[in-house]
Order: sequence, then structure tokens, then C-alpha cells
Amino acid sequence: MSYSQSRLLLLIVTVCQPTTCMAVDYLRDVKPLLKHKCYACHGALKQQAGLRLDTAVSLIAGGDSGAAVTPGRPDESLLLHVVTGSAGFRMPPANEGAALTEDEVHLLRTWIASGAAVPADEVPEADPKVWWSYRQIRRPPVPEVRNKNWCRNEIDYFVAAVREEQGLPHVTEASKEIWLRRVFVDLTGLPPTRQDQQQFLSDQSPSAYETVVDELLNRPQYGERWGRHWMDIWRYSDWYGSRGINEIRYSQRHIWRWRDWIVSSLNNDKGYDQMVREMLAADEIAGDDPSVLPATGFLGRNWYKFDRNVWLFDTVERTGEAFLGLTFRCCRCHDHKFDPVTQKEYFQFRAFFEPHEVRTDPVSAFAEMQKDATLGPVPEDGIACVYDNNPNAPTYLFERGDSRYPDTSEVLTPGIPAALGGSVFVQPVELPVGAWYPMLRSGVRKTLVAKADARVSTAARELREARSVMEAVNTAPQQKNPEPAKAQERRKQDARHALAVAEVKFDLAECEAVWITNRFFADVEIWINDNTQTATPYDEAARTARARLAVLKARVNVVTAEKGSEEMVKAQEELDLAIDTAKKTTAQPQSIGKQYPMTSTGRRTALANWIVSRDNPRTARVAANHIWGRHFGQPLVATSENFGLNGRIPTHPQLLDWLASELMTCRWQMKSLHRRLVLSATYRMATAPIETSGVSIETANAVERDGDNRFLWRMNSRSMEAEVVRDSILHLADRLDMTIGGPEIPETDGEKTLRRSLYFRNTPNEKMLMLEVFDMADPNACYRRKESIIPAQSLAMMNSGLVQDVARIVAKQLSEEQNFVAAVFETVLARRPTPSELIRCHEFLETHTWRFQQDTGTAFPQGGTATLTPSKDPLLHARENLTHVLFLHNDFVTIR
Amino acid sequence: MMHDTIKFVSANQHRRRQFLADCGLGFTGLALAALLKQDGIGAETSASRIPAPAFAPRAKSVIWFFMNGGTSHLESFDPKPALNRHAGKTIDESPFGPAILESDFYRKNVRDFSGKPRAMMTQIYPLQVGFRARGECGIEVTDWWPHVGSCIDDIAVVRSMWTTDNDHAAQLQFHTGRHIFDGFYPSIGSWVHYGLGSLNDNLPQFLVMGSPPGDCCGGTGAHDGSYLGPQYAGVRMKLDPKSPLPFGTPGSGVEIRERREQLGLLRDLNQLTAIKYPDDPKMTARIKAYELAFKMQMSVPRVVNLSLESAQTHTLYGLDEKPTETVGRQALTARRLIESGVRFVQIYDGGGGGGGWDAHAKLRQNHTKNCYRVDKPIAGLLKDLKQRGLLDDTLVVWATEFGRTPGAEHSDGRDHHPYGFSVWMAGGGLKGGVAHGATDEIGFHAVENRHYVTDIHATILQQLGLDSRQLEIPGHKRLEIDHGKPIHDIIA
Repeated sequence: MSYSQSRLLLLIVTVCQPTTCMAVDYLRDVKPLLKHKCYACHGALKQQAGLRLDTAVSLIAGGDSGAAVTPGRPDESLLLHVVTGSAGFRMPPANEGAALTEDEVHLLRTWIASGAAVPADEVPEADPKVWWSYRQIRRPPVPEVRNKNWCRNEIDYFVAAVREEQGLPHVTEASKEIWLRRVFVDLTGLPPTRQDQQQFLSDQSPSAYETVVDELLNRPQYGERWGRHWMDIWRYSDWYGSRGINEIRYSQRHIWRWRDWIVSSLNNDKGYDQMVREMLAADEIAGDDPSVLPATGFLGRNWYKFDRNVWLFDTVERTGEAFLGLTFRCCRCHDHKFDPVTQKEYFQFRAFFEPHEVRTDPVSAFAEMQKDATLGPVPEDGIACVYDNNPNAPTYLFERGDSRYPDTSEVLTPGIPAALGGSVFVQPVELPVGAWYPMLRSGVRKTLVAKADARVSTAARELREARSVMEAVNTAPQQKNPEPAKAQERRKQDARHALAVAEVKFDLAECEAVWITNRFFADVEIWINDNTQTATPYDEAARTARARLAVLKARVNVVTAEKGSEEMVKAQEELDLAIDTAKKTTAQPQSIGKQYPMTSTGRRTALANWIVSRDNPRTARVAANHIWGRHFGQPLVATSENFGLNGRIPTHPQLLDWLASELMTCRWQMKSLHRRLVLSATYRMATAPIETSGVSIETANAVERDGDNRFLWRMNSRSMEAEVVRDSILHLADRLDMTIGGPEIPETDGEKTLRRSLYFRNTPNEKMLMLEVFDMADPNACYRRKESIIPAQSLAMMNSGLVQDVARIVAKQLSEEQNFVAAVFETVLARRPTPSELIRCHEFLETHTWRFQQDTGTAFPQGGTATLTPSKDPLLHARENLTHVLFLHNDFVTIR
Repeated sequence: MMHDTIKFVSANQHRRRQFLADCGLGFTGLALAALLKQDGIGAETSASRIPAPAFAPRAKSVIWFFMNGGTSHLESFDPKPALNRHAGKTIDESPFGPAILESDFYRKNVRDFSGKPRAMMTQIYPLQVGFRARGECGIEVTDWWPHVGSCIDDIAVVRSMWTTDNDHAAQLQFHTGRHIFDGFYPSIGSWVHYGLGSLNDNLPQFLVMGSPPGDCCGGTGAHDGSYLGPQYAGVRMKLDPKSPLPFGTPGSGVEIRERREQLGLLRDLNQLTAIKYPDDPKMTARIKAYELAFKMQMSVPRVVNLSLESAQTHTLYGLDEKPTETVGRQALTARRLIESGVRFVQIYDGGGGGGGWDAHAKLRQNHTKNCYRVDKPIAGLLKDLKQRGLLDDTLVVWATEFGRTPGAEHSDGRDHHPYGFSVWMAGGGLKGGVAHGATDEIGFHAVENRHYVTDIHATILQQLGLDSRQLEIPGHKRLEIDHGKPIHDIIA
């Protein structure tokens, strides 16, 4: 009998109940139970009451209360008294988990009764801080591999090394046409047209692949494609609430500008670090730049009308998940059970955001107002952004996460989870004038002056018109049947009144223009040129105009009110008061539009700088993992929002670190990373395990041993995401409207408005049905898309007007082609048909055409949204149906 | 003609064998045969997710009626004569004041929607309708529910419900078990679909009729799959037999047989590709999904075609009378759906905005009308299920997001009331003729056998043979309150 066998026998004792007998093994039965129930407080993470239960030795030894187990004597063992509650208290405590069941207690009892055998060499749980994702990112050397010839760049060495270690083969390269479709969809979200295909297939130069990749990365559709990916992770949502009464409850109006900022930042290859900084603190680092401010949509998206705490909970947790792979929602209520993060640290993280508020900055004075059901008038256009409104807002820890029980004994300062290392340096930021006085931004103030000028012109025109009416009345030529004198007099009176009104309105418009212009001149001198002296004359002119403005406004009311009416009396009183006030005081200086605090706490800038610091062990890894996953169909860390101890470990840790380090080395610019990824040999592999010569024994073996392809011996085939399905269908019929950006389009217009899918309204309440059935992102949280295959998708593909119309259009477009079947395969599937597919399709066209020539059959019920009817020509009708089938083909929605 | 066609087909068969050989590999025939045998990998469409039932299932399907807006428990299934005796007094003046206001639950248990607590409706408002003991069990039900009242011996009333939202997002909460402040979670229907899988692949498993809560109050979240994924979300269905499902018809320009031929071609083309990609489970699932979709498209209109039902049945459900027609159609359709194997039919009543039952004023008018609309159809369903022997394995649920205040609002209405309210269930292995739990003398607090909304979920799951604790999704930790506890007292 070997040593290990004898040890096994020693450790197995039996639990005998009346009917069954069961052996109890410490490692198999006791340890997992303790791990599940007790380790969170009595293990590597924490040793409450000095007690550690992660080895049998330390379990028996016990903690501050003495030995926990007396081997052989269950009734004297504290452990049993504690789990049953007979000790006077119960473990785990009521709010930390359910009590042990009778069976579980019995298990412990049996193990203790039989002597509590201890396994040799039991190793305690590791210190959580040595977990891979708490360690700094070090650029690993490129490993040695046997098959150097296969490798095209560093990525391949890392992949090959792991694969060789596993003894796995790799499949051959994908065909050029398959690679082309893959890279087109990957980088732009749209498959290649026939022209794109011909161009690439005929390019025999060694740099043909690079040419395509560079060209694609320069297309604006790259930003839209990858923008949508990042929108998933950053949980983009248009505003929602009670749309029927135009009441916002969540997110921000005009948040589409954040979406457009994402798209353009990616197209401009802005560094990921800068993107993170701007999303968290654009108001502090570029507060007067209307092209950057919308970035804070990342924060504004969390706005919730009814509960500030819900809003800040989301802000804290989503920031942790999106950038740091840190899930710490559980720390709202208690210290983390798996990761070394405390409840206090959670609330210290919240303190970064405590002072911030949302606001809508003006983009133009010409924007009209609309009515929100409860907020009242709100601008129809503007920049949704954030700012520090209340620098002194205190942050408290909430007992058990309940906002009704803040622990006011301690005001928490901003802080980061210590286990992630680094430090933050918070310094208040003096804001540029355009940040706190948004009307003074040059783009905006121009529109205000323009608007005032436009009003003057309108008033001047109306005045001229009133004058000419007056003249016409006075100089009217004598008619054959002259009007009665009374009527004539009334007309004159009306004209005189109209002229009086026009005159005072003109004065008002002019005065307003004078006020606005001078106010701006003054404010520009004071706040931008820092010269109060040169401002003085403007300032005085503005004050005078302002005082006169009040008088003129009152005068307008007097002239327009009906004579002798109550209104008139009131208007006259107001006018007298205005005149009086204007005489007595010079009007106080006043700003045009709102002013906000001139300084910001700098907290969010400090947080952002810590997040994107090169020493942060998470940020670059998390970003690289997201990018990798979207190119290769599976991220290196499967739990992309959770890099903690309860998440999955990377399949290729070295590769992940190299990618993270490479991202930082390339100034966090993502295009160069994309380029390397899609030009790698790894990315070029086929998805099929079959090579042209048949299945090799090696690959058959690989299917057996690594069917999930964790070690990348082939490429993963993927399904198109919802947006790609819709956009591609439209694109291949040349129907896709490529306009970039702008306000969200109603989600119900998806079959009418043929813009790219990311521009349609998408909220938890409002999703385009076509996209919804294809698993579009849940706007509340989506770090990886779900992928389902359900009949609802098939119904959408078979019956939506969008697909039917496109099939009919494509068939018609290709009707002059000599080889229709080949042409339609190339158009829809970006490949040529195989000989057998050709034959089957021709057979279909023959029988189908023949059938249409014969008679008609039963039709489907009325309805549907197709705008085109099937062709009357039997052959074209058959071709339409063939085209439609290719859109339904598995190879259409599949990226090989 | 006939002869020619046969020749054509056989010539093609020959050709096909030829081209299959062309794409080479010699083992084509084998691969194809294997594929043909292979069943759907789209496990969601047919297989159950749970290895074996956790409990012996007592019910197969659920019909869930939900009254949006908050039905008065007082004027429905929990009548309180003390309201009449103390009418006009304030709650303070009544003998119940201290017990109500000093209760552990008053306000402390509620997370208010608009930041400040809802005002107390202090002046006790008398019952607006009479009530009487019904059935052999003698449970008291008001006169607005004569038909449901007549079925009371088959019904288990739960009179001690409570929830934590004082506004209409309690509609969402009743379906997901969480206050809207916590966000969105899978709805009970989606859990059932997820846990049980399908009884009939030709139909969606979780169907929804009526208008869901307004977007103010959880919206479609009340039948959404949330993190379970959209495939478990309820499918909205219209009563229009021509096109009951979204994307249900291509329009009358398309013939059924041409679609059939298209699907034949699709299958062949996919299988030809399968020679190259033999281990692609998604392809197999997609082939199956198309065939299912086609069958669904053909069978759903038949299931919802109520003209196949007798005039007697139409009368039983109130289809012959304008006010009861809509709910009658929904209820009868629900019966036909569960007969065909649908797992969960969710019917919203008075959806949109705060909800049609939200009687802040003119309660008598509101509830007379609303009760009349739903009473006969729902009772008709119970009777119909019973006479067909379907009530044994069908669980019928009637619920609402909260009750209404004992005190008056606007002189003739009642406000929202989350502290104590009633729901009922029938069939599916539950007891009939029982009233479980109780509110205090004026129906303010649930005081006996208090139940949070997930206790209803737990009861349903248990009757379906599911253990909510086995329905765990990695990364989505569920709390005790999410699981709830089955109400054993009403289980037969």
C-alpha cells in the first residue's frame, strides 16, 4: 500500500445514519463546507477573533477563544457549539449567511468524533494581494517557441508558447476571402462589398493585408463599430423616464453627444488614458471645450431623478467594473468576501463623486425650450455634462449599505482601494471662465449676439411695415365709394396703435442688443482679458441698457394692453415702478445665463489620474482584455468586469500583460493594438478544424482535448451582434445611410430610417425590436454580449420588411449578372459558391421559377412591413427568394 | 407532367450525390446522416435547464393576472366592517391609531419614490361596497366580485402581502422581487421559462398580453429576462389572430409554399456548409430555430383563433358583452395557450401610466367598472379550467402591486398602500377555500403571516417543481429576499 493510499484510509471515517453510511473526508467534505461558510471572515482575507479556518491545523488550534475542536470529543468542541448556536451566539451570523443544515452539522460532528484527522502538508490560502490582478503589470519577454515560422508578430509567440506547452496543434490559415470578411466586420461592423473583395483578392503584393487593415482603421465606420463596443462597457443609455409626458427620470437629455464623442475620439485615435480622464473629469481638465465636455456623459448617465444614493451607487460600481475590473457592489453593505476591499474603501471611492452634479450647458442661443413634465422648461439642445456643485458635501459610510443609516461620526475623504496600490493627490482646480460661465464661450456668445441682432432686424422690419401702413392710410387715394368716416378713423387709429407698438418693440430689441453686446464686451475684458479698466465703459453701457430694458419691457405691456382694462392699470403701475427704479439705482451687474462655481475639487481628476497611471495593476489589463475579446470571440479573462479572486484567471497571463504593456507603450492608442491583433498569425487562422486535405489526426485530437479552444489552436467563429446584422443587411443592398452622429433616432423608425443602428434610441425601456431579438446590449450592464439562437430571430429575418426589401433590391441589382448565383453569394456571403451549392441553387431557381409560372398558392396573412412587392417576373421572383435565403444562411450571421 | 417532375427530382438526386462527392472528403454521406440525426443544440428551445425537478411538480403552467394601479384589498378580498363603524374619524382618533403608527413597519419598511414619505390618509373611509360570506368556506368577498366570489372554494386568498415601494414601480417589484432602486432583475415568468424549458417547441414559452406598466414604473422590465437574456423574456402577443406575434407574417404577397421551399433550400445550403464545419453547434441550432419559427408562425394564429370555441364558452368568459370582451378574450386565449403547452401567460390589466386601478379619487366609479370588466372573465377561466380538468396542473394567479389606504384621499378615493394587501391563487396543487394571513382591524398593516412578493414567486416555483436556490447564475448573487419562501399553509 502506497503512502498516499494509507493516508486516504486514515482520513476517511464514516457517517452512519439509520439507513445510509457515508464516509467523511476532510478535504472532500469538511474543507469545502468551511470554505463556503467561514473563510470570508476566518481565512486569508480576514482573521476575525484571531481565527483562521483554512487549514485543519489552524482550525483545531482555534483563535482568541481557544481551541475550536477537541478531536474525538464533538460535545467539547467550540466549533459545534458555535454553528448550532448553543454557544449563545451563532456562526455564520444571521446577516452573513444561512445557518448550517443538520446534515452539515452532522458532518462536522462525525469528523471530530472520529478524531479530526489532519491531512499532511495542507497549505493555507494565499494572501489575496498576491493574486495576479493585484500585481503590477510587467512587460514579459517574448517567449521561445519551436514553431517560429508560424509567428508573424509577438502575439503569436505568446499564443504558440501556451499551445505548445499544451501539446496542441494549430489549424491552417483561413482563406483570403474569409479573412477579409472577418477583418471588415471586426473593424467597421460592415462586411466587404464585391468591389472590396475583388480589390483584395487581386492584390498579390506582400502588403495586401496591411493595406486593407490600414484603410479600414481610417474609415469613420471604425469609430462607430468600436464606439458601440465601448458603449456596451460604459453602459450608454439615452434618457428615459415617462416619455409620454416628456419626463426624464434616468440618464441625460442630449447624451448622444457623449456617443458622438466616443466615436470621434476613437476615429482620432485618442489615447484610452485620455478618454478615461475626460469621461471622469472633462469639466476639470477641459471645462470650456464643448467638444470634450460631453465625455462626462459617462457620469451623467447614472443620474436618477428620485434617489441620489442610487445614482452614486451606480457611479461607484460601474466605474469600478468598467475601468478596473473591480466588482464591489457587495461592499455597499459589508467588506468584500473575496477581495481585499473594505466597505469603508467603497465609500471613500464614493467621496470622489460626492460633490458632483449634472447640468446642461448651452450650445447656441437659438435653441428653443421644451417642457419637461416636472422639471419645467428645459433646453431642446445642449451639452449634458457634470460639475462640482457642492465641494463640501460630506461622505458617510452607510451601515449595512442602507442610506437611512449614515455613520455621521466620520466624514470620509476620497481614497482608493489600498490593495490596488498607488496613491491619489487631490488638488482643487481653478476653472477657466468658459467652464463656469458657459454663455461666455465664444461659440455660444456669438449666437447670442446674432440672436439679438436678428431680433433687432425683425423689429426694424416690423417697424418699417407699420410705418408704411400708416402712410398708406394717411395718403389713401379717394375711392369711388368712400368709406364712412368712422371706419376710416378706426383704420387710422389701428395703424397708429400698431406703429406705437412696433416703435417700442424696436426700442426694446435694440436695447437688448446693446445690453447683450456691452455685457459681453465687459465680461470678456473682465474675465478673459483680465482688464477691468477697459471693461468700465462697456460695463456702464450695459448697466444703463439693463435699467432701460426693464422700462421698455414694462412699456411694451402698457402699449399692448387693452385701454381701460385691469391689465392696463397693472402695466402702468409696473412701468412707473420701473422708471422710478431706473432713476434711483444703476442696475446691478448681471450675467447672461447661468454661472457656476469657479473652482472644482479636483477629486475626479485625481481619481482618473490614478486609474490611468502606469502603475495601476488593472486599467490597461482590463482594456486590453476587452479589445482582445472582441477580436477573438473570447476574452483572455472570461469575467471581463471581475478580475478579482472570484473571477476567472487569464488563459494567457503573459500575453495579457504584454498587450497591456504594449497599449501603454503606444501612448494608450488603440489603433496600433488593433493593427497588431488583426495582422497576427493567430488572427489569420481558420475556424474550421478541417484543412483542405481533410481532418488531420492532430486537429481531431485538439477538438477532443480543447473543444472550447481556450488555447487558441484555431480561430473562434462568432455571431454578428444585433447592430451588425441590421447594418450589414442594409449595407449590402447599398441602402445604409452613412451619416455620422446626431441626436438619437426613435427606436420605432428602424425600418424607415436607414441610419446605422447605434444612432437609434436605446434605453432599458426603448429598444428597436429587430435589435432586441438579436441580443443587443442591456443598457444597464453589459460587459459581454449574450448570444442566443431563438425563433424570434428567425421570424425577424424571414418576415421583417427590412430583410425582404433588401433581398428584392439585391436580386434586382444583380439581374444583369451572367452568373447570378455566384454574384449573389459574393454579395451576401462574401465568398464564391462551391460547385454543390451552385447546383443546388440552380435547381432551386428552376423549380421555383417553374412553380411561379404554374399557379398561385395560399398566401400568408396580411401585415408585415415590406415596402416592395415580389417581382411579377417568375425568374426574378425566384432570385429574390434565393437572395433572401442567403441572408438567412448561417454563414451570413456567422463571422468565420 | 407528373412523370416529368419525378424524372427531374431523381435526376437531381443523382446530381446531388455527385456534387457532395465533389466537395470531397468521402465521408460526406456519413456527416450528413449524423447531422440529420443530431438534435437541436439550442438547448433553450426544448431541454430543461435543471437536471431533475427539485420537488415533485404539481403544476405545469401559470396564468398570471396583474391589475396595474393597485386594487383596493378592502373592497375586494379583505373587507373590513370596522371601516364603516369608524368612518369619518381619523386613524389617530380610532382605537387602532397607536398600533398602526408605532408599528415596526410603518414608513420604516418603505423606500419612498419621490424622496419624501407619502402623506398619511388619516380620515377613515367607509367601505364602498357590501360583502358577504361565499362558498362553503364562507370567506368574505365584496359584491364587486360576484363571479370570482362564486369560485372561492377553489381559491387561496393571501391577505397579508406587503411590499416596499409606495409608488407604481411596485408593479416592477411584484414581478422581479426588487424595488426599482435596486435596478432590473429577471421577472418571475422568465425564471419559470428558464427553469422549466418548453412543453411545446412550436410556441413561445412565456407570452404576455395587455399593456405592461408604464415606462415610469418598470415598463417592460416586468416581463423581461434581465441577466437571463432576451430569450427568456416574455413575448408580447396581440389578440389579432392574423398576426399575433412580432414579425409574425411576411405579408400577403408571400405564399406559404414558397417559404417552405426557401426553408428547404436553406436547410440544404446550411448542411453543405456543415460538411466543412462539422462541429458548429450554432449552425444546428439555427437550422432548428428556422424550422421552429416557421411552425410557430403557422400554429400561433390557430391557437389564438377563438372562433374555434363554442358559443357557450364565449358566454362563460363574457365575450358576448362589450365591457368583459377584452379580458374575456385574453383569459380564453390564455387557456388555449396553456393547453398547447405554454408555460407562463402573463396578462396585464389597466397597463400604462400608473395603471387603470389607481383610484386616488372616485374609487367607487373606478372599481365598479374595473371589477366588472375582469370578474366574469377570470371566474369563467377558473370554471372552464376546472370542468376540463386543467385546474389541477394550472396555477392561476391574481395580483396587484399594492392595496389602497383605509383613509380617504380627495374625499372619495384611496391612496397607494404597500403595508397590507391581498392577492389570490387557484389550482396547481394549492388548497381552495382558504384565506391565509390577515391585516389589522382596518386593513392597514399585514399582521399575521406576513408575506413579501417573492413568497408568491417561491410558491409558484415550488408547485412547478423548481427550487429557486438552484436557479443561480454565476456573477448574479441572489439574496434571501429574492428567493422568498413558499407559503406552505396554502399548499394542498
